[in-house]
Amino acid sequence: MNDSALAGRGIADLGRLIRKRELSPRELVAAVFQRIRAVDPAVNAFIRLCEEAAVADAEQAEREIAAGDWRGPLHGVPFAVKDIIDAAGIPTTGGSRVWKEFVPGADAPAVGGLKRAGAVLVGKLNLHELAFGITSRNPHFGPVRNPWDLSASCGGSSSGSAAALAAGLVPLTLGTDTGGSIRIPSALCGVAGLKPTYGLVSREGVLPLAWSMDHVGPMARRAQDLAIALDAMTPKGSARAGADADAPANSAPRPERVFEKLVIGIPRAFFDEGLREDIARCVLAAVDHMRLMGARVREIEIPGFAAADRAAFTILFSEAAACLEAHTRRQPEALGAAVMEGVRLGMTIPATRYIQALRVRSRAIAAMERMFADVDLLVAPATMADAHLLEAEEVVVGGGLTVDVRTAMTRYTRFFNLTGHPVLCLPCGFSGRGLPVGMQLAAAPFRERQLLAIGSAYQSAFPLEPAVAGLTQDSARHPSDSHTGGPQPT
Amino acid sequence: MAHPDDLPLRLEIPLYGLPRGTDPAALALKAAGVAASLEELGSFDQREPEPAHAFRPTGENDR
Repeated sequence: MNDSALAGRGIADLGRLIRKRELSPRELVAAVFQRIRAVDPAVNAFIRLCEEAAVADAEQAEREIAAGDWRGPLHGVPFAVKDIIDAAGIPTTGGSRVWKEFVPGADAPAVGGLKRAGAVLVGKLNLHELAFGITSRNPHFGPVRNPWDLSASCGGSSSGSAAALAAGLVPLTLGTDTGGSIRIPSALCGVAGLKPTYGLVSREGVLPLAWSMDHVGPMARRAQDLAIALDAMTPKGSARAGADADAPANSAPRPERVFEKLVIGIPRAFFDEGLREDIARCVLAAVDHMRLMGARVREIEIPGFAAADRAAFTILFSEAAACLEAHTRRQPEALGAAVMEGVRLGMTIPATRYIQALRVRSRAIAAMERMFADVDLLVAPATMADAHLLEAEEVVVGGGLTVDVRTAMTRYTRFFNLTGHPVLCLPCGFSGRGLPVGMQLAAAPFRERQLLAIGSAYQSAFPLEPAVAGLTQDSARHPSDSHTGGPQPT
Repeated sequence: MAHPDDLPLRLEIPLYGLPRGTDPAALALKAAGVAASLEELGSFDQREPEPAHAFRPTGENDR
C-alpha cells in the first residue's frame, strides 16, 4: 500500500488492518515518512522528525503483534506531537529559540500513555511560538501552510498538529488549547480536535502558558479516533475518565440511538452579527441533520457572555505574562514580536482586575451548570470566518465588519477555556471559498465519551468529502517555499 | 517594574476603576514604591512551580 492510499485512513481502520496483519507497522511508518518528505516541505507542519526511533519502534510493534501480543488499536499506529509537549530524549523547543537547548528526560503522561498503547512517535510539530497566539506564523521555524490552500493560515497555536492531519501525514496528533488552540486550527484545516475537561488530561511535561486555562487534547480526522486516543491518554480506572462510562468509548454507535433523546442548545451569543453567513449556514445545517436523526433543538441564552469573554482574555494574558516574564527579561532578543507584545499587554492588567475575572469565571461556570441541566449538548460555530491569508492581520467577518484576526478566531472558543467544559470541534462543511468550516460541540464536565459518541455518529451519518486536502508532491510545491526552519532529524 | 539591567520606564497607562478623586501625582509616587518592592517577588522560569498547589491522587499515573 503506498503513502497516498494510507493518507486518509483513521486509527480504527489502520488498527484493524494491522491486527489482521494486512498492514505491517514498518510498512505504515515507511509510508508516513515517504509522504512527509513529499508534502511537508510545502506545508511545514513538522519541526523535527524522529525517523530512526520510529522505525525501531515500528519493528518492535511488528514483533510483538506477530507474537500475539496486540495491545489495541493504537499498536503500530504513527502519531506526532505539538512541540510544546515533552517526549523523552527529543528537544521540546516550544517553537521558540528560548527553549532550543531543552531536552526532557521523560515523556509527558499524554505521550507516555499513547506509547504504552503501542503508538509510534514520528516527530514534533510546528506551532505559534510558545503557543501564545493563534497565527500559524512562527518567526523561528517558518509558517505552517494550510493544506487546503497553501496561501492560507492554519490558525493556531496547534498549527502543525492540524496541518499534518489535513495533509494526510499522520492519523493522530496532540495539541494544546489555552484560548482555542486545538479547535481553531481543527476548524480551519477541516479536522477533529478535542479540548477535554480542564484537568482530565495531565498537563505535566507540557510547557505552560496560562495555568488555569491550559488543556491538552488529541486531534485526528474522526471523532472515533479521538476516543481511542483519549482512552490511552487518561489513567485507566480513573473515576474521572469513567464518569460517563455508559457511553460507547471507541465503537461507532448507531446514529439513531445517539440522537433520539438528545436535547441540543443553540446559544444565541455565538450567532452574533459578526458570524459570517456561510459559516453560520454550515453549522445550522449540521444542527438540522442532528434534528433529522431525532435530536430536539432549542435556542438558549448564556447570561454574561460578553463579560465572560473579557474575563477569559484577562486571565489568559495575566497568567501568560507571569509565565513568560522571565524570558522577556533574560533573553528578549530570542522571542518573536507577537510573544513580546502579549507579555507586555498582560503586564498592564492590574491584580484587582484578574481577581474580578476569576469571579466572573465562577459565575460563568454556574450559568453553564444550570444550562446543562436543561440541554445535553451545545452546538456553536468555532470561528467567525474561514482560513484567512497567512499574512493577514485583519479579517472581514459577518455584517461587513473588519476585526483583528485574534477576535475572528477566538471569540467563540476562549469562553470554554474559562469554564473548562469539554468541547469537540468537528468539520461541518465548506465555506463559500471552498475552505473547511468547523463547529463546536460542548457538553457537561467529563462527558467526553458521550461527546465523542455523538461526533462519531454524526460523522458516520454525514461523512464530509474530501476528508483530506488533495496534496501531492507536485501540487505541494509552493512558490514561496522559503521558511527558515523545516524538520530536523533526531 | 524594571529589571535591574533595564532602564527605568515611565508609562502612562489608564487604570480602570480607580476611586474618584485619586490624585495622580501622589499615586504615581506611591505606585513607584510598590513597583520597586514587587521586584522582591522574583521572576520564575516558565517550567518552575505553578501558581496554585495541586494534590495528585495516589497512582494517578499508574496504568
